[in-house]
Amino acid sequence: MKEIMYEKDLMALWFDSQDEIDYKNKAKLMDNLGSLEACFYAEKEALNNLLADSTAVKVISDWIKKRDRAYLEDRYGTLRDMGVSITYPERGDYPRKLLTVPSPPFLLYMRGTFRQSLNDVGCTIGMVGSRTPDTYGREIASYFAKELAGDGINIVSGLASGVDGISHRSALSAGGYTVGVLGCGINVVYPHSNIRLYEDMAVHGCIISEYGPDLVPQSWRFPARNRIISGLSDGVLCVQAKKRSGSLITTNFALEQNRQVYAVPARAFDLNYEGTNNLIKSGAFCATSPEDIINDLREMRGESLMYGEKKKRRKQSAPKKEVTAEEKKILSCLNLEPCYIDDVIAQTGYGITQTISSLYVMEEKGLVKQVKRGWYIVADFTRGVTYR
Amino acid sequence: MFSKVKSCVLRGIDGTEIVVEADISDGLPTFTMVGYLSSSVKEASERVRTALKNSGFTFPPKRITVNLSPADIKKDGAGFDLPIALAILLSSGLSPEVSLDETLVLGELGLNGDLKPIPGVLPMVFRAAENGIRSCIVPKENVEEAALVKGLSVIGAATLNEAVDYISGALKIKPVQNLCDRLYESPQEQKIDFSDIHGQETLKRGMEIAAAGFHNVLMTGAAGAGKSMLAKRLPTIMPRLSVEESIEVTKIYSTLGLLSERGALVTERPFRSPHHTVSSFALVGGGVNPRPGEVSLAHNGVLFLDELPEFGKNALEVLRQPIEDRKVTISRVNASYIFPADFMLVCAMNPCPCGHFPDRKRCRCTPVMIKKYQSRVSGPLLDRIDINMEVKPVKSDDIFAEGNGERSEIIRARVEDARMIQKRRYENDGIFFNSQLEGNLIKKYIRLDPEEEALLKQVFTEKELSARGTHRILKLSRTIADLSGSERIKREHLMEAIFYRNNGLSYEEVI
Repeated sequence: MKEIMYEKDLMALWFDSQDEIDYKNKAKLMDNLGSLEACFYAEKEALNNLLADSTAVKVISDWIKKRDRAYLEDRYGTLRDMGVSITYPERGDYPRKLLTVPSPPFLLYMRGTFRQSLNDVGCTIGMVGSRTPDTYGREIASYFAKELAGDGINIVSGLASGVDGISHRSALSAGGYTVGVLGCGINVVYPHSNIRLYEDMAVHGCIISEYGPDLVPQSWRFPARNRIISGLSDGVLCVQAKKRSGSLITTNFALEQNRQVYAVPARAFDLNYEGTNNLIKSGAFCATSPEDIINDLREMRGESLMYGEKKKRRKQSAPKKEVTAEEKKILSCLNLEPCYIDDVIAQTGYGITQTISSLYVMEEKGLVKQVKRGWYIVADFTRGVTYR
Repeated sequence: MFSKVKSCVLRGIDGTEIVVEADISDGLPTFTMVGYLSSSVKEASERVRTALKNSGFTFPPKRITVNLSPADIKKDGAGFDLPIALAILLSSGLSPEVSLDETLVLGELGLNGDLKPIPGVLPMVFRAAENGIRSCIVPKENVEEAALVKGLSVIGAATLNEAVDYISGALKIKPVQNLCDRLYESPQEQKIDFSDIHGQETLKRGMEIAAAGFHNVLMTGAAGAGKSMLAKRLPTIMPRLSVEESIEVTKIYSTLGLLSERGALVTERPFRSPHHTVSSFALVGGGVNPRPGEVSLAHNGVLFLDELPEFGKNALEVLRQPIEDRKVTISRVNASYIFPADFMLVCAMNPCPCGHFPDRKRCRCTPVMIKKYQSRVSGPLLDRIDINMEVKPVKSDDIFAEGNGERSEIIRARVEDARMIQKRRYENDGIFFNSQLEGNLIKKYIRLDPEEEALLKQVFTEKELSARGTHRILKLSRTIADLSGSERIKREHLMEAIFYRNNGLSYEEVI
């Protein structure tokens, strides 16, 4: 059995070895020839006939040359050394949910560990949003990811900067399982500032790409990657999107693939959230707390109380934080808009030294958060905040 | 006949005594000058010849030899015109009984015989006084400067004729003496004040701490938020210069001929703000005849680098050594020069190329652009900065509000108090400020109670501080405690120090 799988792995590798043969062409071959094996053993003429109008003959003959066993084994070995495994629909570690979507990837490269919970047994939420979120977007992404992941829901996102990275990082910190889907080669870290996250995900989560090693990021590949994010998920949560945000591509895929779309509301006329608000207008599920999403998932799948219980228990057992009068007064100045310390001083009338040390203590207690040097927001915002 | 006159040459920022000798003997009429002269001194022959003629003297048609000794020191500058002219006149028998052996003579001559001021009079007169000279003749414009030196009577002459008449006794000029204390006491008018700045309370507090402990400062903030305005007002809250410090600073300004701008004695702390195109030599000093650079001009005062990332990499890196050593050493083949450079570094920068970050409504810079912009400031330089502050864009309410901030003098009084505490504490250690504490001295003077120590340990692990970073926090908290008059470093002092030292530059959270 193992032997047969190995043979198949090599065939799958060959199938993906020629970059010029794009998804459309591969789909054509699969449709006409039926299986990976059939493609691998297909005569040159057969391939030529099928691909001739879009592909040069030279490319096809190059591709056929790569059917060489030594070459494929070498490629296989290189991947293994990188810690990269491959999977395709016939393998057990291919996410089953992807098979239900139009145009599922033929081959996936994978780092980290595949968990069965990505299949039907578990719940998965895709999180998308701006690459440059504002503070509200950051905090919402982090809070939702933490709560959902803490309740055993898998978080899928795109390992980009902004909401993607925050979602992954928060899921990891909550001890959850998270999957990053790349739009570039499996070993390419883009943006490079995510390198630490990438390494952590390879250990504690999973990184998936449709593309083999060293493929440089190109803008047109990212929309294609989005279909995998939504495909892996039961629902897609949009955190912050402008009117023409790339995140909306993912939510469109979600609708196409019959997945639920969740959106966190923001203020009307906020240009940073025009896209999210439009989603709600056109029928997306308006989620104001992670429980909303959990309840909806439960209803959708008709499951028994599987998720959310942990959270309830935690909430009951968590000791109520002691807040002094002074801290209350400081908190009343803060919300989710970063507030500069000078304004806190002006509004409370406390001295500088006093305010600094109070804020320090409050940060330790988890009541406030210093988002930039001297700028504070409420950390415990689920208790409610007021804008003025 | 032979005669000699004493003069001085400037090397670095110190004077070296030079004897100008002249001899007139029979022979073909020639005028020869020897003694390792630079071209500005060689040209003196023409100036002296013409000035003598135009002042009504006959240039003797004899064999004239002038020697500037010692012969192994390069003579530079125009200050030798007057001593050469006087030496020639003396040897041609002007007034045989007069001797200029105990008088220092300095001055440049114009062709009509006018005396012009020269740079570096203070350090030269200073050296002469050390060598036991008790009087000097200098151009009128340099009188006040020369009279800063104690125990020396200064004669100011406007023309060659005045100088000659004074020597021969035909003219009485009242000597000027010991101006130093009077100039130091004369009140200085403050044109700028801290109360000009509206709002920005934490920033002002940071400046107060910086002034009290001589800590280096970096301000980051949007364009037009008031960074430069605040930096310019920093000298107004710093402790006044002591007399000794004043003289030190004045010497440097005298060397570069900058005194006319600031009055004879510099009593206000210097504030230097070089443009970001400054070369590394202009910043630390240099040249064939080494001259002090901006860091020395900022000695005992503030060196303000506006638009920090725009400064050349070289220019910033050469700053590191003077920041640590508080002096600049410049070596040349024939000598090495030491310029004092004990300055407070105050830097200002924009957070991103467009200057509006983190206001995302206006800033369209990508995270990569921001990171790239901020990384132009090297880590080692950042590490030497104790106080990091954010400058918030000013709100309209603040601009139009009535000035209700504290006046500079009130803040200065607190700073002076903190300074006195430090002065007493470090009496025997050769340092003046908390920021200068190093190694053993930190252990000796900064002790934390167990509770505070636990807090610092926690921050050390949480923020992954370096040893240097921890020391910086300790020194800063010492200053904050001194400002509040507390001998013990309390919890809130430590927290405030941590708040101000926080030198993470990157805004985009690292994921």
